[in-house]
Amino acid sequence: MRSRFSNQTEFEACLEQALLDRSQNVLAPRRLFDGIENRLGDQRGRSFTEFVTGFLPSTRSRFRRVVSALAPLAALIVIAVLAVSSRLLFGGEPGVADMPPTLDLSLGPPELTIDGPEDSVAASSPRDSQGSLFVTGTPWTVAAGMNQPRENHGSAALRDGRVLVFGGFDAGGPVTSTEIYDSELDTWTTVGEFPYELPNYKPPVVLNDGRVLVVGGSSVREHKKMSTWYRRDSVLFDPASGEWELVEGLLKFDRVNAESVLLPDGRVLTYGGTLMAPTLNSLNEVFDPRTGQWTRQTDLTETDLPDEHRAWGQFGAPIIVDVDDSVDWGIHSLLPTDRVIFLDAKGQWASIDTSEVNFGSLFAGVLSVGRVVIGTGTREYGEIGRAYFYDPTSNNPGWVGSSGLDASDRELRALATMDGYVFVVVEVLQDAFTEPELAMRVIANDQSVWKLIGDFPAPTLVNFGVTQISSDKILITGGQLGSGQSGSYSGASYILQLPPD
Amino acid sequence: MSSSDSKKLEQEAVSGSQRGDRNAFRYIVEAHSGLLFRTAYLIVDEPSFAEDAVQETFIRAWRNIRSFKPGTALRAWLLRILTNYLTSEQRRRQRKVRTTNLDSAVFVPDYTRNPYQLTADSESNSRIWGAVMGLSIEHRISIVLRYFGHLTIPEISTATGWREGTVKSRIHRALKEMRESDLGEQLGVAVNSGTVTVKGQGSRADAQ
Repeated sequence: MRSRFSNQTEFEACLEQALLDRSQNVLAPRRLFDGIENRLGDQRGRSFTEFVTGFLPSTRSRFRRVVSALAPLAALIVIAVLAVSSRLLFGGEPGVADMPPTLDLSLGPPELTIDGPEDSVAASSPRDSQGSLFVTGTPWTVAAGMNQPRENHGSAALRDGRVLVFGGFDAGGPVTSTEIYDSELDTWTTVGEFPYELPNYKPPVVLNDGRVLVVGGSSVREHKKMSTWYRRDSVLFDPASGEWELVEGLLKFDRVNAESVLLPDGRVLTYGGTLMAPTLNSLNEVFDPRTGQWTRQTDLTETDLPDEHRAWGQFGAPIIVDVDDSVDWGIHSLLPTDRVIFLDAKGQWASIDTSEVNFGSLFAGVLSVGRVVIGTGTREYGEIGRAYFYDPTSNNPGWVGSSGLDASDRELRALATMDGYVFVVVEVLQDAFTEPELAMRVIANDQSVWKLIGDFPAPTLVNFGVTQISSDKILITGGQLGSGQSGSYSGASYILQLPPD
Repeated sequence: MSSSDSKKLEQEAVSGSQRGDRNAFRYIVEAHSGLLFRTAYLIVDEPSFAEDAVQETFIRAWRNIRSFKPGTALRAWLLRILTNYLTSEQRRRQRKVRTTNLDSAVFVPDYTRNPYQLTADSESNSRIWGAVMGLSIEHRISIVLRYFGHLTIPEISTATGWREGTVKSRIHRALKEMRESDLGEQLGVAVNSGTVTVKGQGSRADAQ
């Protein structure tokens, strides 16, 4: 098509002038900061409420129940104080007119409401076209920043409630420092350094005795020597001493990106990854914390556990999603021959039929209620963000699908299956057909609808850590703001308070 | 005040804000709110929406100020928060409209009820403005940042999170779309060219 303009510069000049004129036709709002100050004040009040409820074991609603239960007692104390005061002030028995009003306890305690983001949004939350509940408001709290900015780091929730963060990268390369976050004090404490630069590792395993095991990985310094690129080391972190210790016994096999899960008997099963000796029959091995040794694992044969698969072992029951990766690693299709292998509470391996689930799998996990969940994360190979639940204890076991994520969502940037929740951060790809957007969605354990929890606090953040610190709080740590060489490394931390069901 | 002085003041304001000093943050708000508001207004053509967006931008900036790396461009960082918010909010509004009333999804700016507007646009400006508002929000953001904010392509890339190639193509497509609209005839500009130049980039793309 031919242009209507003879002079592009002239057109651009007209455009500039029109925009300038237009911008000068409006009054910039006055006292803008006062409005912001008011809203920041609201946020401060909200944080205080969260601070108060943070002392209690669970959610705001539980706080309300506790206060409501104590209200009649408080009312009786007030009445008693008034009665005694009256007697002291006026002497003798009070007349009928002096009696305090009778409190009718038969009606139950007076209703006590607490203003807060969850309460205020519940009644007005709109639903999108998918039927998902959009929870507005901002459930984020900015926590203390880490001492060391980093991305792609490891993190684990320690059994004493603190959070361990180690390794990763910053602008100078690999980071070996280790820090512990105490959510009660909102402080980070630097502890012993990780013994080697480890840019490529899988999530650590928290042992029953509280120590943390990091298995294998690869080392930057040895990267150029391919024969020693991988590490056959494993490392234990002791929260009591704050120090890392190399395990004396080496892994039995040369492997990179092996997955590890905690078995019910306290040992750690390690398997899969990229293997340097694929002809061996049994490639799985087990670490016993009592002996500190690795042994070849024979309970599961190679047939049961092929070289390429994914595993998630959380909350006492590991799950292995056995995926055919012959086409393209990273984008999976659950074929009819693929299986989900589930280690149940009795320690028995069970294979679950996945013929009903016919799209790409990105995440999987075991919820605390015993259900298995798997889901998908890329639109190009299927519908994105539909989680499938499987309850092995049901009389009629079968997969139950959740609602799909909204059509604008393109990619899952992070995911965790945690105590009753499936938690995802949704990234909208930043290319010509999409727009930058980062949001969070959660599936609660007793419903199959994604909740939009709110905009992510740092819209451009990538490669951050996700750790659950309590039943309803998630800690986001570090990451990179922006991408490529222009990106900056973050030491910031954010706490997400999940809304009550 | 020299530019180095204002830059030093801004750095001090950022440092103070990162320590939790509200007065320091107030300096940042007052220094950037005008640009952010006018940019937002030119993108959404709705003053109250623009004001909300600017407020939201500074709220988010305050919450995340500790993640801001001193020495980098604060303006681009704020613009990025703003454009992210505008884009997602615009989509959210459109989605909400779709679920309630399809007819109201059509954007019709109402100038007569605009209490912020001081004077009426000239006829030519109105037409250019109409062409701008006919663009998608991504194209509008590109045009406003380039021709109102006078940002370079790398700066727009930083301020939006889009790749530089995406920024170039969006500006290119936006200009092409406006050029091929009725705007040209209305402005009485002759028709005989086939190129678009994105100023400041030194690259020319065929307009087919």
